[in-house]
Amino acid sequence: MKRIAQALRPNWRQAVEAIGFNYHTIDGDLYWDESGFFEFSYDQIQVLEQATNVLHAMCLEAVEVVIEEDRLSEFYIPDRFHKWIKDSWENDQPTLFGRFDLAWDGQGPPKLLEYNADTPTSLFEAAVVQWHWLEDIQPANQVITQFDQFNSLHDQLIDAWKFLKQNGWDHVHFAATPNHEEDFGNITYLRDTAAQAGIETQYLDMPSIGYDHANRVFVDTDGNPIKHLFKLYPWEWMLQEEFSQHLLQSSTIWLEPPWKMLLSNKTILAILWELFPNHKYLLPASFEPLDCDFVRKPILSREGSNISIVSQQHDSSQSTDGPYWDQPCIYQAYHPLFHSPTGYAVLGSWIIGDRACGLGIREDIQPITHNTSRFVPHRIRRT
Amino acid sequence: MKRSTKVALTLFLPAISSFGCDTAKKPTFAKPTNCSTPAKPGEPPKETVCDPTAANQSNHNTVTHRPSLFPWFWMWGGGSNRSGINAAPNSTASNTNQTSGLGSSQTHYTPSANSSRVSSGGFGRTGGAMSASS
Repeated sequence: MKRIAQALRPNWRQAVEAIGFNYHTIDGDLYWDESGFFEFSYDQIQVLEQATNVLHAMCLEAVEVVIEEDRLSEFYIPDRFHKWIKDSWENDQPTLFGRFDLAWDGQGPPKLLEYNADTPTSLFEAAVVQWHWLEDIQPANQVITQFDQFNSLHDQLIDAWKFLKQNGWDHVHFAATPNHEEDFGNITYLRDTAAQAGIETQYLDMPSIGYDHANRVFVDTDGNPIKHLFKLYPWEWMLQEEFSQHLLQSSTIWLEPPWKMLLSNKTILAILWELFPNHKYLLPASFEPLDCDFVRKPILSREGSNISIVSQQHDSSQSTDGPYWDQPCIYQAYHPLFHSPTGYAVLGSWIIGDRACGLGIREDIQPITHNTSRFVPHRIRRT
Repeated sequence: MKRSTKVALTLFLPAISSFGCDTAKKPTFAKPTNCSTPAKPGEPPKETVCDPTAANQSNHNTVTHRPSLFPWFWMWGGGSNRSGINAAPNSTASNTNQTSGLGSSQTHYTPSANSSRVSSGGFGRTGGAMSASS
């Protein structure tokens, strides 16, 4: 694994905007950064793929244990939702996707930092934008033969939707927070893949979701029942909002399913370590501070907010602000990220359905990745 | 890697290119199918005449009166400051009971189920100022 500098494509803005990627610049700073790329060997990608598939299996096993042993209170989920979450697991409500954030420098085993299991984003960038970038920078006959990319996200998404369609998901509503360009871009891309699988789709803003009190169903803006809904909106937010009281009676099937909130909660990091102690893909994690250098993470923090690195080495200590300061925390052993003169890199390894199938890399000058950390493309050198 | 096809994006991506949530959430209003022009003087009475009231009821109403500007989605709490926590109660909610809890959702009757009470705005408030990304 190495980072290679490269000149920007002269027309890069037009090129990415032509495929619908307009949030390449956030608050005046580049978010899409093709001033360089990461290069992997094929063997390294197989290590990543294997790690991601194993972590996915471990997570499913952890959910089973949490459900069986009734440990949902460790996730600070209100009691009244416990049975509902358990039912979603027992009823095999499907999952579409997730993204494991990994620390790795190409040597040894990748280490799980966290699992974005509920509302992972940067999907459009990983699936589409960097693929077009690869095709654009290479002579056509070299793509695939000499250079490749860990990226079958688009195909796997369509296949996953086809599977859902075969199981009755003929029409899916998609909901997100209004007026957030990145969220809208991601959910629109997901709509696109669902539509290509033959599913009828419809978008509505989260606040536009209605509830029909007489029939006890969530409804869309036409008053039609919402049977299946993909939400790009965290479960922990939904559970504290007014309509959470209707979730238990509603027949709506959600993506991601309720049981996924166990995996998007950082409590799962401590439980994974408990269930699989010293596993090569895990870092020590606990509800108590560790004796070694560690990272303190609120269980439901998002996008690098309220994270503290506590290190004996003064220059490694760092913390971020945010709205999650009052949450319970877990403590995870510190593990260095891939570091180059341009910054620190976190590898986002995607799982679609039950299959690892793509990679997106975020880079930042700080070791704590946050919402505007740059997305840097990658390629695989086959030779 | 193991990619079998090129990325084909043909369905919704233009909506991203011309980003704007309004594009996606503006509803389509079906024209009444049982309307005809009223009989002119001297013509025999027509069996079906377009009834503006009926048309409203089957097509989310008030838009008919202010077709180009009325922010239809405000009724549902989306896309407007009026949907905020301090928003004035929507007139359509005045004749119904508010949902319990935070009391911030809006309630009204849907034309498709006249006897059903429908509330909205009960999800989405936490995300008003934050991206849901992770």
